[in-house]
Amino acid sequence: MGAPKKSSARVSEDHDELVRVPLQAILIADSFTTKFRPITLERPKVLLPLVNAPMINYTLTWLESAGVEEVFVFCCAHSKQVINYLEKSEWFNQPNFTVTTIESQNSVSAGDALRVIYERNVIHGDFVLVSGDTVSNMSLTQALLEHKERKKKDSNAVMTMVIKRSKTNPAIHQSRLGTDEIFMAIDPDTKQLLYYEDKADYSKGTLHLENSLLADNPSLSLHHDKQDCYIDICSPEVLSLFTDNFDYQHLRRHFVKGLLVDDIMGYKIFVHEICSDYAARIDNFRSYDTVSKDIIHRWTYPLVPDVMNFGNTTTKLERQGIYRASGFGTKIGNNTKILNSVVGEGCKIGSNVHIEGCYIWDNVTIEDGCKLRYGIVCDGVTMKSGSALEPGVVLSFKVVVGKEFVVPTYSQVSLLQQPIEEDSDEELEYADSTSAITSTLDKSDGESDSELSDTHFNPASELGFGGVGYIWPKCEGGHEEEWRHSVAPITEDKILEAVKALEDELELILDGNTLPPSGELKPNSIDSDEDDNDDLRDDFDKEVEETFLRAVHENIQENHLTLEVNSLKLSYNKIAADCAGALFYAMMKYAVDMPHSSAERLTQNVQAVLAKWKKVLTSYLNDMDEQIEVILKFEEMCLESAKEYAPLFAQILHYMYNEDIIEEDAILSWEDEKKEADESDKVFVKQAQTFIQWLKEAPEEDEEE
Amino acid sequence: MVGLQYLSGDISGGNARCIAMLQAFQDAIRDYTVPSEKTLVRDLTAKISSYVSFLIECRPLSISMGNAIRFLKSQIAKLPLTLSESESKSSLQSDIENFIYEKIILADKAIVEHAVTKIRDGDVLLTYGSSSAVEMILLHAYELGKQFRVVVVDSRPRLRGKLLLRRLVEKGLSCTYTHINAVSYIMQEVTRVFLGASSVLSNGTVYSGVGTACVAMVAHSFHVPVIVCCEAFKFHERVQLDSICSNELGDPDAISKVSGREDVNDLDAWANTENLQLLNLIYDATPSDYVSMIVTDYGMIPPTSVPVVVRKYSREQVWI
Repeated sequence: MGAPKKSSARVSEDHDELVRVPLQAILIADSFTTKFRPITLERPKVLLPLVNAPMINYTLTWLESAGVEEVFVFCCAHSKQVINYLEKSEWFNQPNFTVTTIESQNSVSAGDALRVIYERNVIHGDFVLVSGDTVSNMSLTQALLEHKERKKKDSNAVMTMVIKRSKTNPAIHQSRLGTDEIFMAIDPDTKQLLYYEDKADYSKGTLHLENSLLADNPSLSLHHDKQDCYIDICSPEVLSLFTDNFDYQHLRRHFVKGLLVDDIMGYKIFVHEICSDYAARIDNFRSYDTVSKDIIHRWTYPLVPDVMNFGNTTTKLERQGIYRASGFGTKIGNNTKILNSVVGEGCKIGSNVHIEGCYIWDNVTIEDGCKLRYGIVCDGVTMKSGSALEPGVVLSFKVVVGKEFVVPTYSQVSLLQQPIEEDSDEELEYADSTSAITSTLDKSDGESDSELSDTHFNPASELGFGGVGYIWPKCEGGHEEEWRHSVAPITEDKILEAVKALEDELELILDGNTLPPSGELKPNSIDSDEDDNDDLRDDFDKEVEETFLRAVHENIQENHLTLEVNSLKLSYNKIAADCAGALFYAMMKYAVDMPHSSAERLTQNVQAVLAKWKKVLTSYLNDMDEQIEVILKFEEMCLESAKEYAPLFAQILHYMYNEDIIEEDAILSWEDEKKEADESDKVFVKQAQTFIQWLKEAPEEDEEE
Repeated sequence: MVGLQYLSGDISGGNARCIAMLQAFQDAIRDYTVPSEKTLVRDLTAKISSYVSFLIECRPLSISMGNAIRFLKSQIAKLPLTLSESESKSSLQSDIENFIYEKIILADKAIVEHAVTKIRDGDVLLTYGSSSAVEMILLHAYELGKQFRVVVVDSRPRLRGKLLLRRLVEKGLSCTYTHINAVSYIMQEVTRVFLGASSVLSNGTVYSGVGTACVAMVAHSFHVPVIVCCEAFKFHERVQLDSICSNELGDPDAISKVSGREDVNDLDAWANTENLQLLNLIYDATPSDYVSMIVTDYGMIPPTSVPVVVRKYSREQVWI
């Protein structure tokens, strides 16, 4: 119902612009990671079914509805499959929506992909950069508008990132989508992104921000409850940036951080936060599970199965959130329970089967009495009778699970052997090995069939009697990660474990008393600044005093002294009040050190010094706070270092008032401040009482007159 | 203080309001001293009356609060004249304490015990708005390990169901949330309706948050049993046939504005239009025909037996 409204609004906006550039989008149909292995060895991630429709369909449908007119699909791994799919689908012959594929075999990262696109020279204006596994229903109009406005004002605003609020689990530092907690620093007024960290070190519980970050920005908000939607609105400069910096590989880790750190070019990144719209990227098995559930629960409306019917089948939503497709060819036996699951086309499910939280793709055969919990079962899998899947299992294409065999938790089963890790860099490794495998797969399906029959005769199959497939040995590093990213819900003991670890850490920290408890994000630099301040105070005062004495003895001009004090102020990072205080201290010290026989002589000394250097002092006394600081300093001196002044306090104060060094308001508010102080502190207030009284009465008299 | 909280809606719900009022009275009695040449009984009654009129100014009293005030006044009147000031004050304070404990907290426990027996595995329970008694029943049944699903029906403008829903979901119950517009759709799958009540009148009419009657009627037409949970101190001997008299009118702005949707502003600045009246009722009356059963602290009774409870309850009060 909202759609026609939106489109009409957009059309009118377009008319406003003199030169109309069609909105373009780059869709990267490759994630350049290995998170979806072993499935992605045989099929590209963007073609994996998400609630029975390939992921790329969701992205393309959204782009089309959001008003994008030209999409460049960048294919790398399994590019043939992606192109074949797109050719068969209706995407190539839509009116007002063109899909172009760009193929590259040797790209190993998103950075490479963008470099290839730049060479093609097809992007002319602002474009939307997404990956092919994004599910969203957000309207781009607002974000685009913001981006363009900013671009007009500041040509360095090259990118707008879309973010969404999402609470992370404090125990395991992970969002619902299974991604790590992200820390961002955002300027609340301009929405400029100032800091981005997706791999924070939780063990310390602290976050390090650059000093300059705090110094340069009047306000700054730190977020750790935002989720990066991986939808970026970019200006064409982004592509050339990638070409200029050939070592940029990862969009976030290299590009975003690179831009934020690099202050020579001054490029800026901004964020756009969406509230009611949906946007998420499928990054791992857990987000696959989460996003599937969100689609079923219709948070992604209108991208829901019964609205966006792909292919020939029509899906209907029935009571209690059940979607049922007609003409699907899936048979389900008697007394079978299926809960929170998605079952694909042409499946045969026997009787007395229990399926919970599973994603079962097409043409799967599940025989009687099987038990499946929280797993992904790919096309063509056969589960012999009585077999079972423990939570978190992934069965890749055409695997056969033998009779009565129980697949252990978090195991990944494939017909293909796990590729040997050749390179520690996961991105490089992925591209290399997949390209090798695509070539073998592309040859023919028959070969894999023969392979299948080979293993079939192997009595010592890893998957029980009559089973086919390899259980991938768990790699060392991945062991910790698997429960974080699997489809299975995180078990309570894992969370408890994490909570416990956190508590231990906290205790440790509290015992050591060295670091603030984690969770409280104290920017460290502020702390250190304060510490430094204490250390530096004495130094600063001394420096100022020396400078002043030098000025007196060498007859340096007033403005030169001001200059020197100013430079000291900057180098010690002080404020004007500090300078005034220090300078005043120096003057009084000088006056007291001058030879004097009596109190009157001392007063004269002070008056002479103050008269001479008044200009320097007053240049720091623009504000009331600074004047109060001077009075306080004076008070402090009278009490401690120069007791000679004590009886002369009121007299000198009066003199300073007459000389306009200190204004009436400052004296009155100083008195105000002292009202609550101890009796001992009030000595000087009392001394100056008559003077203050006079001050208070003076204006009244003025009025009367 | 309490009055202002009523006014702003911070304290809402029959039991919460009643407890807050009684506690405020407790504080008032503690701070109270008898003026010279006056008797405690007369003066305190007058004082309490003035407090009550202030509370009424903030928000009209619910029937449960009326009952509680009546109880307190009768306690004051019954104080023996021989008692000293401090003794009578402490006795009144403990009376209020007992009232809160027996009539509200223990009553709720008894209701939960009774009502839980009516929840079976596989049930789909529907509730409307937010009732503390119903919430306790659902949570207790969940703790007992019963397998059931909850449908929380809500309505504008107060959306109190959201609070209930949040608490239930936090505890791990499986819930469905919908608005009253969809009640006829959702009722098909519901097996029982649990409703809270502001009061039960002696002809069996249930006086409760607006919308309850609608839910009860829909449930009746779908042959779904309607179970009303209400503590006995909320029973009243009044007979009322419709919901217009002695009802409370809410802020008309609340129904003309939709929070978070500035674009729905068709009714803005219509306050001065003469031929328009915005009606924001707070309560409605559900006829006893649509109520299958009332669960009280005395047990489960049909709505026709309400007069018995009323009689028994008032007699008991005299005894205290």
